Amino acid sequence: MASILSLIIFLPLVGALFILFVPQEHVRLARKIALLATGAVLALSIYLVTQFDISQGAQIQFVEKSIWIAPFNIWYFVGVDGLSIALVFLTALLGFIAALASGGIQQRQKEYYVLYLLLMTGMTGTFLALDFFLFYIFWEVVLIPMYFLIGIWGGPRREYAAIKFFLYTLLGSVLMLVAILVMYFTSQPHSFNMLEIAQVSGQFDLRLQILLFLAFYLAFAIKVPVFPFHTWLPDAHVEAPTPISVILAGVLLKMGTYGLVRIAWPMFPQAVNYFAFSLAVLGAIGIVYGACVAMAQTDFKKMIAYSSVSHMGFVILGLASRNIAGVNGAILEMFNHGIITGGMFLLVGVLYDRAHTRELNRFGGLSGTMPVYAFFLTFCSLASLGLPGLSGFVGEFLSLAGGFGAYQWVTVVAALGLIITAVYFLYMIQRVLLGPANISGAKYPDMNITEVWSLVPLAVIIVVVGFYPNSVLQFQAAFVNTMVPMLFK
Amino acid sequence: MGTFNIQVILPEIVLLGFAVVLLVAGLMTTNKRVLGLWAVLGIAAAYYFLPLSFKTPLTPLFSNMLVNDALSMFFRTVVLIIGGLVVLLSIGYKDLDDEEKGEYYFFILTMTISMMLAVASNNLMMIYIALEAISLLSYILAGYAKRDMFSSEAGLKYFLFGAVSTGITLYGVSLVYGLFGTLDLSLISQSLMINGVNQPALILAGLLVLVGFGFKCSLVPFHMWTPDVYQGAPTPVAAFFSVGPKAVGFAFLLRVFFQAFQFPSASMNPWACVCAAIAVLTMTLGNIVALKQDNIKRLLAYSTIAQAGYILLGITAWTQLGVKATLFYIFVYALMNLGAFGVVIAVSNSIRSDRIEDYAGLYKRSPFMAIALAVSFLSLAGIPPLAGFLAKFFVFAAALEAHLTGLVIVAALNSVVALYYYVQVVRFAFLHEPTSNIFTPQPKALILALGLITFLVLTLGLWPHPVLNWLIELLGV
Repeated sequence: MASILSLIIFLPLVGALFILFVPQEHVRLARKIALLATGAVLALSIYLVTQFDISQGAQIQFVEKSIWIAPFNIWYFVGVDGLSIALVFLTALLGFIAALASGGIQQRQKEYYVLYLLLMTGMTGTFLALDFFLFYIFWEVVLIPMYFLIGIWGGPRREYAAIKFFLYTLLGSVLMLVAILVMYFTSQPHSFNMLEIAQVSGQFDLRLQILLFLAFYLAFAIKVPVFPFHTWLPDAHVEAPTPISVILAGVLLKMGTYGLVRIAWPMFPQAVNYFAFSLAVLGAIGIVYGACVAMAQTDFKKMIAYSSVSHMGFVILGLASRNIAGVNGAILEMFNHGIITGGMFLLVGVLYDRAHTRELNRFGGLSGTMPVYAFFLTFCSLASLGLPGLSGFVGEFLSLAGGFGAYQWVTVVAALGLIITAVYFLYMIQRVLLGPANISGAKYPDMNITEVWSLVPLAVIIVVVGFYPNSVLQFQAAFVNTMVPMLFK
Repeated sequence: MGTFNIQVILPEIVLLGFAVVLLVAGLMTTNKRVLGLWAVLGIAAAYYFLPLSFKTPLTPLFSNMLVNDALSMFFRTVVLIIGGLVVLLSIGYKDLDDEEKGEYYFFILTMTISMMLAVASNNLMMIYIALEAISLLSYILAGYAKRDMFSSEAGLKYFLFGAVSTGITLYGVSLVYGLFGTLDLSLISQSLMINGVNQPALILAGLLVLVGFGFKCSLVPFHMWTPDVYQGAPTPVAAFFSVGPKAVGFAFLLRVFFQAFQFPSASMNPWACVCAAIAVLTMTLGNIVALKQDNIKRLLAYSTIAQAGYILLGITAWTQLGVKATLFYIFVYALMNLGAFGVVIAVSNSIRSDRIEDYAGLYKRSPFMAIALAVSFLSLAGIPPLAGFLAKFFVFAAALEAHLTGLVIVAALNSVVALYYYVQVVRFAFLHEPTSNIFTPQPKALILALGLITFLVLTLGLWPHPVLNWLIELLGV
């Protein structure tokens, strides 16, 4: 299949166009089309993974390139390499699962699925675009559907959360746009081609490199989010409907870390060296601060949201270490966090659908009435707190190992985060699953078949990666082994 | 002084013919549909003759009063398209007095003619006359709804501000004559190249001339009339003011300052400095004041002020790329702003309100209008993949090529501020439930205009080639 990447990017968009023509009385058809489109994308991305040449993981594969806006040398240029392959698969998998979990959306279904599919196109496109202009378009295209998805189908403070998300992200990205244009005019010949720019950007004046790095870093750090740019995240997460939280934590945050690894690090290695210590410190603060704040939450979703801030800190720390172990850990942690936290948000949603509250203190003793739920919740929590044998451990261990090689004391402090993480997850399990039955005394039905089957693939991946990390690491190995020694000797 | 070729101004002549017929027909019939269709037909006929006009070689016309160069071709086309869209919007506007429909379309068409002649002018005297013609028609149109207090106030206010600013411009023009002994822009340019000039005197004259242009473009500090006039004038007229005279103002800026008043040494170009300062002030003030508006027409007024700042940024670059970016921006701006006003017309047709709160639940009352609104407003905010983004992108690119990094950063941050108020309207339309379900069916002309605009704004953002190729054909690579 010659244009498989374009298919993966644009199939959801085609689905969205079809949904637009679904008459209002057959509104259930919209959901079917959305499932079909995301299912097809998942199938295609699995096929892509099987066809991907692992030994050439440092090379861009499945390239599609054609001129788009000639006067500005703008190309439609997409391709996949060892860095993006896992993220494309992650997006496709969570995209399908979250569509499956969208059954609870009852009002304005057509609009929901149109926006949802548009979001899919934007996210996948961001991971696959290799032309800066194209990248920026996809990056921004994500904002509009996300704004509406939170703003229309969200919780009580949805409008505030939606506009906050929109404004924060746009603030970062307009500066990125300026940086992109400055690089275009600084490179000779003028180019938006990411690969070409990466070849020449190292020769830019150091002061310019630092400024450009800061512009990109701000854009990506807001998206990740890195402490102290994280304040939009808890609001957005708490207000967003369950499937959108899954996408937000599972995929959207990865756009930020992906940008760091794809753009900020390889293009401005000197600037990265210059700031490495501060970056590592910010990562460590994120880990400890996120964990501490998560511990103090009584809202289930907010707790998971802050745990995301904490987990993303590991990615930043691993990247700041600039050695093979750290960068490997960071990239693996992106994938793992997507799977684990995606699962966690699904589980929060399961409970919220039944109890219509997320107050942790109002639950209790659910392990008796909801054994299947208790199993999955415990499983995902253990994965999230980094139990060896499950996937979360591997990424965090590698990140910390890398970090220790670069900044010992920072890493020692960061490692404290692991303990706090264990504390708040176990405390959450205690409050929700153990102890006496909940205050209201209501009995909730256990998970239904759809809910179970949306979690099973995630659980399988968590175990497989936990026991055999190489299943994911092999894809990125060539990329990391080429990039790190080349940039950071 | 060269051969006179009638076909160059054939579009204007045809349009004038149609306008005169309208004036007479207005006495005999009050059927506004017939009159409106006739006006559309006039614009279409004029459009048909445009290519013929462009084919004529670059000869001086009317003693070099008019030129047929790239700028003139671009702006005449744009102004004519604007005229056509405004006529369509006017047919769709239900509040106009039926008895005076003939006159109304006559004024719209004659204003279009004046604007077409204005952008082709190559002589400061001709520019001044065109400016006055546009102004006089504007005063009448702003106060057209005679029985509406706000409309009369708008007409008067526009007149007072306009009279003063064009007066100042005339004074500047007289100084220019004193400096060069001619008002012919080609001769002025030559004289500057060969003989040079007393620079402070030229700067003073230029600044005075700029007042009238700035007034038309609603650049800060000449913007004060804008919100009141937009609020008071009939909505299609406000839509016209927000794009037509503005395009003319920018055409004058390019022709007089960029082309004619060139300084021998390009370094420390005083005009670029002035433009930079005005651009920053204009976009910042427009965006910040827009945040607080609760009337959609006032909001759009401040939005157009801010947009003028972005357009000026393209001119500030003072390069060929800058000119192209400016022209592209003006074209896209005309479309998206008319789209925004079109939705305002549809809503005021239905509920007779211009309050932003009353846009609540528009998605339910009229999905088409809600989508048209979202496309126009998000495009004005510069969100990809809409045309407004590409326009901003080109302008930023041109400014960065000219090393105006600081200016671009200010403009980029400004667009974050702007997002808030543009999204505010979209928020009411999509996120709020309607307070009433009233939405009367809209006239076909309005739907046609909005459909066309929405389609163009959606496609030009991803496929700008038709406009880009046209600009390259006109101005070279």
